[in-house]
Amino acid sequence: MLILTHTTSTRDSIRNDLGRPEYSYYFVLRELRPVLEDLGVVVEVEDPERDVDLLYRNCQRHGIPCVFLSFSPPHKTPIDLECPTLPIFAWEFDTIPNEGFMGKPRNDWTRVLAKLGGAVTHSGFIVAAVKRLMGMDFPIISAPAPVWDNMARLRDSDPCTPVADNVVIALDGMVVDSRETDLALYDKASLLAFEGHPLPLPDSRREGRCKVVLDGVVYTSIFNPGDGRKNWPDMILAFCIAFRDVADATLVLKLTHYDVSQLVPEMLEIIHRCGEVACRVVMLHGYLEQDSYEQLLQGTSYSVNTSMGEGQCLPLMEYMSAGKPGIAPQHSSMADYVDESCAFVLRSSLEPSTWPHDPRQAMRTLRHRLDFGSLVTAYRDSYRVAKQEPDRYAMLSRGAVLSLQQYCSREVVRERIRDAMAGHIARHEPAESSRADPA
Amino acid sequence: MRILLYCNTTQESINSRLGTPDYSYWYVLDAFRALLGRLGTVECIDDPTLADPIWRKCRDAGESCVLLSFAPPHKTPLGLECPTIPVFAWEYPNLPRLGDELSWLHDPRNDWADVFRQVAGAIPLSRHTRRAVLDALGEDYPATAIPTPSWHRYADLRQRIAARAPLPAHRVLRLRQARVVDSHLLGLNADGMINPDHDDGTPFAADDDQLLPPKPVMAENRWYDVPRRSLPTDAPEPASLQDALPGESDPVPSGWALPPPLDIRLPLEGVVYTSVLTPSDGRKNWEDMLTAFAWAFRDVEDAVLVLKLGGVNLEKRHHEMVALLSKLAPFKCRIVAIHGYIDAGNYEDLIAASDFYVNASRCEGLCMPLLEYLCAGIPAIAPDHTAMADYIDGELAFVVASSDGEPTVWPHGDYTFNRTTRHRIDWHSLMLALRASYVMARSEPEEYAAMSARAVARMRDYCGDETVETQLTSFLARIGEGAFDGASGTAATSAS
Repeated sequence: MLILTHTTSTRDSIRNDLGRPEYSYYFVLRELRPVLEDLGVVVEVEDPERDVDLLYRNCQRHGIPCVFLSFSPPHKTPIDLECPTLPIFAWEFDTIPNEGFMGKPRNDWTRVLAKLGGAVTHSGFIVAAVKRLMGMDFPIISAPAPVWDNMARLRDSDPCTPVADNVVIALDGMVVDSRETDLALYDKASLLAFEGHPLPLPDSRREGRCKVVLDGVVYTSIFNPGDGRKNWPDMILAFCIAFRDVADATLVLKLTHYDVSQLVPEMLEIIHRCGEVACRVVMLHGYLEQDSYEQLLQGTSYSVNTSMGEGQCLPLMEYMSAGKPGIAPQHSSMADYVDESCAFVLRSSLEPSTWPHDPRQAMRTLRHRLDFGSLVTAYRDSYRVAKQEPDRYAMLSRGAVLSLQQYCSREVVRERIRDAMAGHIARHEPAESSRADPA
Repeated sequence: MRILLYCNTTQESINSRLGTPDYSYWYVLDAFRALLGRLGTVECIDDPTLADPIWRKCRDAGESCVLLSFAPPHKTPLGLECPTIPVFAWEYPNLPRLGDELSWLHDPRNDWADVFRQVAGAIPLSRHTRRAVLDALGEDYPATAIPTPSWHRYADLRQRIAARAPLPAHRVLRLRQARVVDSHLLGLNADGMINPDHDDGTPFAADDDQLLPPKPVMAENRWYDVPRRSLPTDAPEPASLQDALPGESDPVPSGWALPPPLDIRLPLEGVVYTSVLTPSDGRKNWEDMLTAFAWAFRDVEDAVLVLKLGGVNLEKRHHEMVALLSKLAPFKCRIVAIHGYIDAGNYEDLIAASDFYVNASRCEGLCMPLLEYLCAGIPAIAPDHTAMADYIDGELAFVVASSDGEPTVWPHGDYTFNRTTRHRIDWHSLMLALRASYVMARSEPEEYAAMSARAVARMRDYCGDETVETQLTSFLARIGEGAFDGASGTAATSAS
């Protein structure tokens, strides 16, 4: 079988694309590629409109099954190819876009999906959401990025110590450490003085090749701060409240965005608003090489997510696959792998939201509103477990490995994607023959 | 007994002070005044220096005298010989301390615990606030929670509501010189919010519409299709009300500009929800109320939310509402906003025209409108946190869930540090409560009538004159003993 793939971001562009629309599809393809290679010959195409049908017709001539996997949201998936096309898309809201807003029919995903005849997403939550609008028979499956196997070396080599002791992380980028920063510069008077313009980055920041040393109970979150759904204000605020008097609790925020110069000052402002706090918040910006990525993971006690919705959340999946218990809500796609066996579960309820790419910002879907108190409680409980209950920590760690194995191991994902591709090609063929039929 | 009532707002100045800080204390004072008149001779003063001369005169005549201060604790008159008791509303779980804000340091009264030590005792309006006082001052501190005695004030209105048909199909609210905005006349459209700079590069081809199959048709969730039942009534349809009076107009179309004040004849069809609030007061959380209502009743024509909005800068609030409702459009239900002051008669008319009161607040020191509607027999949709915990439960309300502990700043400080917490509303439970109340009003009118009756009975126990009089009598007696036992008439000795 020939498996054609496409993403807008490529290996060459990804560093500059971080935080831009659809950048994360690159990572999904990167993770899925080994599984696809088990199932066929994988060819990445640069320009689907130009290349896909050419290759498809060649395959047809030689009797080779061929499918095009478009790693893109449905409104950016080619709709008029001869080659059977499966969009592989991430979505985190309970309603998929079903209006052709801006006068563009493709913005109505239900019409695009009806045309394509099948799809792949990353969670049971979205499978259900799509079937609600497309009918229970609509062929859509959940195939998350299979990151579990990649983490084998890390989870086996690391005994998963719940408390960090002098863990050194080297990175090339920027480090802002709340302990080294004069937070008073991020007060209301400064905000007023800057008249709505963003406050500057602190002078205490370190740039270029720098080292960060982590000690104590370390909470890590890797996210795109430009994405409002990540709800980092709650994450930071609750951390500072939970650990107001606790010096050996550290929150590491690894920021995945091409420009954080406006966002870091906003984070410092939040810390300042909490008054004097003993805990530490460290913001890291810059690409982490594999070694640094592993150092950070190994120095971490818990992986944190406070989102209003997730399509899958690769960083949380990776950390949990490596045996790092989570602090996360059990909603949207995380409901597939977050529960009490592997995480401190945050409570949440629903609130109205917009489809993020809808320029009208019309309220058409629901997202999740965090129960703030449950986050403070989860921080405190998890700290106690890390410090005083190593057995329970080890149990959560094993629970995380097991839960993520069931969710995103290559074995699980391979079976599903194989069936999805085979089914899609099979459904396509009768249509082909009937189209060829001059009746 | 002589009871002096202090408030910095007076009957004469209230109309010009609506929406300004502390204006609502005048309403609290007004609610207590008649009842206090039964306990002693009441005298209102707007200058605290008048208190001590009166107190001395009373002392010489052997009459006890007390000053009830209707103001926030940091504005309580201090240093008087006359025993002073702040009557106050507070919606947070802790009390302000001096060091909380830089701008407070010059005035020690910003340490509320310090104020309470200097006065004879305190009357918070809720048990939630009493808890905050005792947490700061010790369990022995003389503080008692007493709500405004609102129940008896609405006796006439209760009779009027009892006389009309329950859940009437049609009703007409007449308002004198009111600025009324009607969502049906706003021309709401989500496309109005398009920012042309925000094109995200979604492809478009001229034949897309032909190429793509039609949208799949799915069964709708018609939760609102319930059997409609109404209670038999002897009350005649007030046909005369339907006709417009000379000079009266229906609500007029409006866009971004607020309509002028007019004599309005406002017909209301279906289930009528009402809320009275000041939108600029962030804790009122009107965003959740508007979004939950429009969401709940997107497909329901006969549900109306009437908002009576107070405060300053109403034009700005109007813009916020139009922007928010545009993002929610299209929806079939109706949202009517009445901007600014309406007189007491119109206020009662509005209560009588309502089926439910809605509250979506993050915290409350009492919420007098909610209390008043319940006293009139109008059930509520409201959370049961902070002061509302004293009177909201499933018997008389659809309870809205919320979670505790969201950090926030003091409402009267520098807005610099988070010093307290408030509740975060469970939006979904608010939305579902609205739907549940609609279904009840439509198909179980007996249950609605029973809920209304329970509201009246329960509020009588909670804030009827007998209850409040007993509470006040025993508290004032306790203070009186303290004042005569101790030399200073303050509660300092009780402080821990």
